[in-house]
Amino acid sequence: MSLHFDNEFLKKLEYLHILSKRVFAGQFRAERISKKRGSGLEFADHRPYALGDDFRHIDWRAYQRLDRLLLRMFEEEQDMPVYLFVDTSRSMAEGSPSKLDYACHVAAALCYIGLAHLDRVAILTWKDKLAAETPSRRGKGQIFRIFDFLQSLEPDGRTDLAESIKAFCARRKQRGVAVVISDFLDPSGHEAGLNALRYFQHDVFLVHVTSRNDEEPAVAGDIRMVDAETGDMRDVELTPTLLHAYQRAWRKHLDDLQAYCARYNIGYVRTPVEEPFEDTILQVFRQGRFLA
Amino acid sequence: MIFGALSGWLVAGLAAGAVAAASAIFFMKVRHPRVLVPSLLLWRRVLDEDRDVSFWEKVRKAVSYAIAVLVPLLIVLALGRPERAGAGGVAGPLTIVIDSSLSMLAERPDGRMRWEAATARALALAGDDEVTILTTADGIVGGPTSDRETLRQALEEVAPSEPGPFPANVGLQNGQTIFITDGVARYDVPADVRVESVFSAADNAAITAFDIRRDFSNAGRYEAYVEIANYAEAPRAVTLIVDVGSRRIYEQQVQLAADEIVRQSLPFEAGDGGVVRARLDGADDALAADDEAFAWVASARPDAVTLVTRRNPPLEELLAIDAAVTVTRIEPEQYRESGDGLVIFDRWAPQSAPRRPAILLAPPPVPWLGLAGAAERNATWSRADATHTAVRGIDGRTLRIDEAGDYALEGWTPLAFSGNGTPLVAVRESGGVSYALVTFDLTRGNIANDPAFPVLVGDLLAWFEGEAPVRVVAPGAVRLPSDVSELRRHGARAGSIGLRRLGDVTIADLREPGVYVAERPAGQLAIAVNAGTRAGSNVRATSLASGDVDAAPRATSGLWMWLVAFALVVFAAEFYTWNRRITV
Repeated sequence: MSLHFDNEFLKKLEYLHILSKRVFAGQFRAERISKKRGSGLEFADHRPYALGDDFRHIDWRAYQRLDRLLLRMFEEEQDMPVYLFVDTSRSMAEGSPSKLDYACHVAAALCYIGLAHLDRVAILTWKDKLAAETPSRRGKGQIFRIFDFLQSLEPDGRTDLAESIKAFCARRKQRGVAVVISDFLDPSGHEAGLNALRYFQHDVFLVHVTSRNDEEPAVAGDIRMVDAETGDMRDVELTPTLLHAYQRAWRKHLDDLQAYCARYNIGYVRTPVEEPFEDTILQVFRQGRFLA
Repeated sequence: MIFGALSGWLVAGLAAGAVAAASAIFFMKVRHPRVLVPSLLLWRRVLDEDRDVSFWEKVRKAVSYAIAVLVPLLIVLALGRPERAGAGGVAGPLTIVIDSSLSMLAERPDGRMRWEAATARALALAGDDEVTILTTADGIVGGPTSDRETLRQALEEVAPSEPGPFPANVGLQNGQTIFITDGVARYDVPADVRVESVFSAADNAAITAFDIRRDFSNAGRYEAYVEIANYAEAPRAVTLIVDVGSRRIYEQQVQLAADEIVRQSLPFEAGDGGVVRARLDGADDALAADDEAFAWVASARPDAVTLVTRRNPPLEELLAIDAAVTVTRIEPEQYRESGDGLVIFDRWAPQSAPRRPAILLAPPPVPWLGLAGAAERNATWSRADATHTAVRGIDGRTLRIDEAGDYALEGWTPLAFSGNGTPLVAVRESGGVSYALVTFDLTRGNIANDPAFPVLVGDLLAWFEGEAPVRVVAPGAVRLPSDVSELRRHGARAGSIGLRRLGDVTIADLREPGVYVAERPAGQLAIAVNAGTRAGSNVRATSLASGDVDAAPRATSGLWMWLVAFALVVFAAEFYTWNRRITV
């Protein structure tokens, strides 16, 4: 896998921001409005002067009108934690390009957008458990480390989103934007994992990576299906009737996922690997109100 | 249903085998190809749920199995060339006569031989009543019976060989008589016999005549006479090849115009003699049997001949030009008993039988060879034993014999007779010495000027040198001298041939072209069997009227083609629907 973005595309990415429906507390000064009041430029509020406050922040015009000493409060602009969860289970090897390649490209692009706006971005890979992660990084200078990390990923193992997310929540307490990039073919279901993220008040966003073969398997006749993750086998006489039934099940799977996201106000974008990657980032993500 | 190409039992066996093989292949557990899918998550939901099964899904397996069995079954049935039993059958007793001339071996446009079409037609004609089948060469070959299988087996035992005569009295029997022929050979067919034709015009090139004769002016040299005909509308180029034993003496391309007959005379060295085989290469025609012909070259003749005569200019001149012999003429007074070689006594004979081979030409009465009666005046050459070397090939119809002596021929074998039964030529073997007697004077009458004269002298000399006589015959039953003890086929397919002895007659059934050698006490007799004749090889012409042409061969060939076509359609439909999953 080679991660390479041309300069024009990178310039377009720099104009984009990762949108969050919530305001999170950051650690460092940055471009995001935080709940803290501090030394920012945007006026936020007044409060009564108290002993020890900085005289420079007293609003003398208000004192003239109201005859009270009021202190001017400013919004503190801080960074925002962004967590990119990349599914590296065996099922992500499917497709051309593979779903993992596509997921890595998406993650790299989102990562670059976050780093360009001084957000703290961390990439976490998961399969049946949390597999690998990068430290939270800030600044565009970190992008090549992120690229190196993404390029080293190989699809392997089973899928268990719930276990992976629970492990993440137990280790990282700071809330932020959680972007889950996966094909969501999880035998144990996706709801438990996503509920955990919601419980810890992360702003959750799903990137559903699919391939045409997921929807319309290019097989026919008497075959032995082998599960790429578990190795389980089923002998199937794949008839048009059966294929139609599968396609119905596939659409129901998509509908269920979308319905879940809609119910809990979770962002959802489906990205077929056959569609151009740049279009997905520049158009689909914006339409999904994940980027602006 | 009856089958024209295979027996019913064989078809049944093949069909059972085909069904068993198709079933075994159909139910064979084939390991399914492995297909890696990202997850069985959704597939499990689909496979484990109760789905509505369509009608085709329910019957698909049964339909597939039926097709898998039906296709090979149809092909097996087609191979058997089926016909509907009794479809063309004739009610009442039926006599079927099949032309068994060699032209029935000619190939038809449908790929079958005329003979095959005729036998298939005969079986199709057989109704539920008794049928008798005859061929012109073999007479009754099957029946009377109503069992078609018996008739079919009987027909498998016979093959075309010779025209033969149309069987006598068949038209007088009860019921109908049908004659199946191609009309190439002409038969005297009774008026009440229905004629059905299997004729369809076919191009053919053939060797219509082939024979060998000695070149009297060159010792050891022979001439082969070959006649090639092209019975076709288009010109044709063939290669004529003539071999003597394993030695090739001639190979040349011959351009033949349409309906052209080319005759060639090919001189050659006899060498050690043996089988002479002429063949046409590249003929690619309807009838292969007449593309080759055979002859036999006798061993070379030796030399020393003593002619004891006062004076016989015609004989002296004839012997002088035969380079194969060295002639010494002496007066009767000079004759001594000692000496080697053959001696010819012309109108003189010694008082005691000579101790070396001798030809006696109109000898005077002597103690060992006396007269029995008065001589016959103005005798005619009436008949001769054509199988004997000493008188072979003599056409005596123009011979004028002034006087033929009536000798006491006890111990002699007369070979040729006058119209009144007076022996004209006789031979005798006594004490290991051979004698030949000609009872008439060669210098009188027109004998010296008649074509039979050099042939007679040549035959007598050949007999003394032990040459095997040669007969050239057409395939079929050949009548042989009664003293033939054994008959063998010569060449690559050598083998003994059975002889039928009917009183004084010995008959051999020589159906295949080639050279056959008969063993006789008097020496060998070579028989060259050649198929090609001008009349029999012209398979493009028929003597039948167009109204005699019957549609039966086409009808018999139709069903098997329909079966094959149906099998192909079923197979194609199965292949198409299976690949596209239309019917599942």
